[in-house]
Amino acid sequence: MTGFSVSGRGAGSAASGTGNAVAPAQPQAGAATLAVENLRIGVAARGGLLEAVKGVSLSVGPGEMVGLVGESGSGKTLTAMAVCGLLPPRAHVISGSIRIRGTDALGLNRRGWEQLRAGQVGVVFQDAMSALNPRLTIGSQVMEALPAELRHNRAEAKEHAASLLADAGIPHPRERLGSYPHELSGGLLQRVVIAMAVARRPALLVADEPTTALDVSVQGQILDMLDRLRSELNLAVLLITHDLRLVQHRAARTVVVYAGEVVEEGPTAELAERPHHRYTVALLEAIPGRAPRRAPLASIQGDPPRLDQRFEGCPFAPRCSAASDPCSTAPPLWQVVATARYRCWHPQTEPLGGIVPRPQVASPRPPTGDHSSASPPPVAELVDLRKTYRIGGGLTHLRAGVTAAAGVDLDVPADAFTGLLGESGCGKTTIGRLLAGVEHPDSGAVRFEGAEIWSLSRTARAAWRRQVQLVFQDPYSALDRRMTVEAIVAEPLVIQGGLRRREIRDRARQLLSDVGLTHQHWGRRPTELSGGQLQRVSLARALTLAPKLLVADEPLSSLDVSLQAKILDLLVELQRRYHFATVLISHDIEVVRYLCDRVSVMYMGRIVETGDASLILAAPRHPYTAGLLASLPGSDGNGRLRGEPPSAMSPPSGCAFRTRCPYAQERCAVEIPQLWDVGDGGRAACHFPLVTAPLAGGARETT
Amino acid sequence: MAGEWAGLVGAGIVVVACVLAIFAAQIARQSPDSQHLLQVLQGPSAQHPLGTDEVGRDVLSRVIYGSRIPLGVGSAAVVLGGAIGVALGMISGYVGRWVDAVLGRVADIQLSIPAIILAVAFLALRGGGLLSLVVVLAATGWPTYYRVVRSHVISARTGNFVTALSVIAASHWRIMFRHLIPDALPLVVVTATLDFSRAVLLEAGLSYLGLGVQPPTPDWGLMVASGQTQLAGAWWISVFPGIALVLLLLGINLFGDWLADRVGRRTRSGVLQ
Ligand SMILES: Nc1ncnc2c1ncn2[C@@H]1O[C@H](COP(=O)(O)OP(=O)(O)OP(=O)(O)O)[C@@H](O)[C@H]1O
Ligand code: SF4
Ligand code: SF4
Ligand SMILES: [Mg+2]
Repeated sequence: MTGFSVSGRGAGSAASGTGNAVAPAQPQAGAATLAVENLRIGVAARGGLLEAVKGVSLSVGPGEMVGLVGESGSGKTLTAMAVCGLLPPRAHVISGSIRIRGTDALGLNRRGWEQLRAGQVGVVFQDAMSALNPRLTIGSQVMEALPAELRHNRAEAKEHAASLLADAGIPHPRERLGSYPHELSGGLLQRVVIAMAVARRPALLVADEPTTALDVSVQGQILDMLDRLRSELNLAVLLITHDLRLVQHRAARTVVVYAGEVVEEGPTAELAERPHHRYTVALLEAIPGRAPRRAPLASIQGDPPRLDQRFEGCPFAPRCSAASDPCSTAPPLWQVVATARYRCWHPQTEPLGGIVPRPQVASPRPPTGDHSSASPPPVAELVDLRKTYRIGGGLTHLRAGVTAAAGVDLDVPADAFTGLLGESGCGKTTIGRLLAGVEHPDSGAVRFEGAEIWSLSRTARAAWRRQVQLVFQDPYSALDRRMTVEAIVAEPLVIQGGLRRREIRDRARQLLSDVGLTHQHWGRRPTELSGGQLQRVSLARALTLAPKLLVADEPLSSLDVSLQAKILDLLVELQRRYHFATVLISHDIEVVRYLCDRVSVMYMGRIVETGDASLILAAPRHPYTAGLLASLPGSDGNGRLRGEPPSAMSPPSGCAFRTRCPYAQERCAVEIPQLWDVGDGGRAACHFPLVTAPLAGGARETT
Repeated sequence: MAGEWAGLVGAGIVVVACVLAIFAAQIARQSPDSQHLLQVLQGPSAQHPLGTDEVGRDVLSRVIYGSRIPLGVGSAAVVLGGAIGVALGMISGYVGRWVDAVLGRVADIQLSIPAIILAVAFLALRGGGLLSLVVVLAATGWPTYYRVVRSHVISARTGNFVTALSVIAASHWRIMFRHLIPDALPLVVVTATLDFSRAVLLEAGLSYLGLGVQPPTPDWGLMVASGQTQLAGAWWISVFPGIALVLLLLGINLFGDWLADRVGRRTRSGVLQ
C-alpha cells in the first residue's frame, strides 16, 4: 500500500504520521497544469507484470518548475513517458490518474494524445541527436513544429522559426536554419529540440535528463534557458534528473523517488539544506563537492533494487545506514513538515548545509616556497606535443585539420592524482591517448621515466607498455562481452605469459575482490553487470599488470552520483594500496577538486592553467578556469561561461579564449599568451590573469 | 511469439531438405536416372507419387536427389564467399587507410555489376560445372560479408574495444582472431543465411538457363526448364521441383529472419545495459 488521498492538508511543523492517507502538501494543487495522482506503471516481463512505478503523485503549476530526482532505474523515465503518453509497448499504466490542464489524459486514445502533445505538452529527451532527423535541415524541422496557422506562408514560417531559435539562445539563427543536425554541437542541438518543444506554446514541458550528455558550462546555459522560458511563457516544467545539483536554484519544488515510490518532496532549497529521508541525505552526501578532499563519500551501500524485488517495509532499508526497527518490516508513514513531506522512520534531524561550497574569494596569495624544486621527477612528461586530426575525407577532397593539441607541456607526478579539465572537444582525450601511447604525436615528445616512448627498443617498449594503462568512460564498449569477468581481468597476464594458470587466476580474483566484486560476479559476462560494476572490472583489468601510470578518461561520467561516489572511494583506496600515478580526465570540476593534487585546465588544444588543484580551483588565475567554476551546477550563475568554444578548425587569432573572455583586450587578439609563473607554483596562459576570483568582481592585474 | 514459430518452421524445412540431400539414396524408392520408356509422362499415381518425366524417370526421386546440387553448391559458395569476405573485411577495417580504400572500391565495383550478368559471362566463357558455379556464387557473394565485418571492426576500433586490447599488449593476431572475429560471428551467421538463399536461387536460375549443371544430373532448376515445354500436358515435371525450390527458400528466409531478430535483440539489449 503506497497510495494516499488528496483530501486534507497537513499543517504545522513535524506533524506526526496519521496513517498513509496524508495529503501531499502542494501549494497549487487546485490550478495545477499537471497533476499526477497515485500513478502505478507495470512492465511486462517473463515472470509476469512487474511494478516499476508504485504510486507516484506530483503536481506542477503554471510557471512552476518541479524537479523529479532519483537514481537510474527508479522509474523517473517511465513516469515522464506516461505523462507524455509515450510509454513503451511493454509498459502500461495500472492505475492512478494523470490530468493535464484538467483533461484526464489516461482516458485518451492515440489521436487524443497526439492532439494533447501537439497543443499542450512539449517533450525533451536526453539525446537530442535521436530526436532530430539527420537528413532534414534544422529549419524544416523547426518549421514542422510550428502551429498550423503559422506554417501557411513559407517566408513567414521561416521568420518564426528563426525567432524561436533566437529565443533558445542560438547565435546566427537565420544561417542555422539551413544546417543539418550533425553540423551542430550537442548543446546547440538540445537548444533546437527545446525550441521545437515550445514552438506551439505548450502549457507543460517535460524534460528528461536534458543536459546529462552535455558539458557543465553548456548544462548551466540550457537550464538557464529553460528557466527563462518557464517565466516568459508561464510554462509548467517537469525536470527529470539523477543529479540533485541541477535542480538547485531552479526548481521551486523537488520530488525524490526511490524504487518507483516518492520518498520525499518539498521546496528545493529546504530539501537541499534540511533533507529528512535517509535516501535524500545519502544522495546529497555522495556529491564530491561537499566533502573534504578524499574523505570517504559513499553512504549508499549496494545497488539500486531490482524491479522484481518486494519490500515489506522501507524499500531503502537494505542500503540505509540508519535502518533499524521497524524499517524492514513496516512501510514508513508520511510525515508532513510545513510544505514538505517525507516517509522515513528515522529521519535526519540536523541540517546539511548548502550543496556546493562556493569557490572562496581569493585574497592575493602570500608567496609560498617554490613547489617544483622540491618535487621528485615526474613519472611521465609531455613536451611541446602537437597533434592535428585530418577530417573530411576522400582522396580528392580538400582536407581540413582540427588541432587537438597545440603544443602541450604536462608533467605527471608519480604516485599522485593529476586532473585534466576542460570542455568537450578541447583535446583532453587526445592528451590521454598520447600519454598512453595509443596515438602518435605529430611532433613533440612523450616521455615515460625520462625516456621518449616512441624511440624505445622493442623490448623496452614491451616493458613500458605494461606500465601505462587506460580506463575508459564506457567500459561496456571496451570489454569483450563474450568473456567472463575473471577472464577479462586475467587476460593481460595471459598475454604477458610466464605465469601458471593458477597464479593468474588467483591474481585476477585478488584484484576483483580489491575492487569489490565477490565470487558471484566472477563468472558473469559484461552484459550481466551494471555500469558501476563494469567500471570496477575495467579498473581491475587496468591494474592487473601493476602499472605506474593510469590514464582514466571520464571514468565516472556515465554513472549516477551515488555510483560515482563509490568509484571515487575505490580509486582513492586502490591508489593508496598500489601507488600509481593517475591522470584523471574529466569535465567535472568537483570530482577533480575532490580527488586531484594537481590540475591542468585545457582550452582548444592548449593548457591554459596548471598547478596545485586546491589552490587553482579555489582561486583561479585564468578567466577560463574562473568561468568553468562559475558554471558549476548549483552555483548561482554569475560569471558563467558564455556560448560555446569556437570551431576548432578555425581557432581565433591570439588567445583562443578571447571570443568568450569578459576581460579580452586588443593585445589578446594579436599575441598568443604563453604559460607563465603566476605565483604559488601555478602557471597560467593569460596576458591579464585574475588577482581575485571574478565572482567577487575582482581587480585586474596588468602586466 | 509468431516469430518464434516461423523460425521453428523455417528451421524444420531446412533440416528436412538437408536430410533428403544426404540420405537421398536411402529415401528415394527409385533411381533418379533409370529410364522407363514404357512409362513416360505419367501423372501422379501410387507407383510414381509425383509422376514421371518425358523419358519415364520418377519425378519424386529426381526431386529428392535434386536437392543435392542447390544445397551442396549453396553451402560451398557460402563457405568460400564468407571466408573471403570475412578475411578482407577484417583486414580492411583493421588496417584502414589505403588498404581500406582499395578493398572498398573493389567491393563497390563487384556489387555494382548485377550478379546474373557476371555469372552468365563467366559461365559462358569457362563452361558450367560445379566448381565454376561455386566460384561464381562466391565471387558475387563476398562483398556482403566484407561490409558487415568491416563496419563491425571499425566500430570496435572507434569504440575503444581495440585500444583496450592494445594497451594490455595483445598482438594483432590475438585481437583479430580471439576477439574481433568471434565478436562478429553472430552477424556473419545472419549474413550467411541470407547469402545462402541468394546462392540457392541463383544456382537454380543459372541451371534453368542451361549455364549451370548439365543434364542428366537431377537439379531443380534444370527440371523446371526441361518440363517447361510439357507444361500444358504434364505440369508435374516442372511444378514439383518448383514447389520444392520455393519451400526451401521460404524455410531459409524464415529461419534467417528469426536469427537476425535474435542477434539484433541480443546486441541491442547488450547496449542497453
Ligand atoms: N520498455 C521496458 N521494458 C522493460 N523494462 C523497462 C522498460 N522501460 C523501463 N524498464 C525498467 O523500469 C525501471 C524504471 O525505468 P526508468 O527508465 O523509468 O528509470 P530511470 O530512473 O529513468 O533510469 P535511467 O536514469 O537509467 O534512465 C528500470 O528497472 C527499467 O529497467
Ligand atoms: S525508513 Fe528506515 S530504512 Fe527507510 S530511509 Fe528511513 S531510516 Fe532508512
Ligand atoms: S589572454 Fe586575454 S582573452 Fe585570453 S584569457 Fe587572458 S584576458 Fe582573456
Ligand atoms: Mg532515465
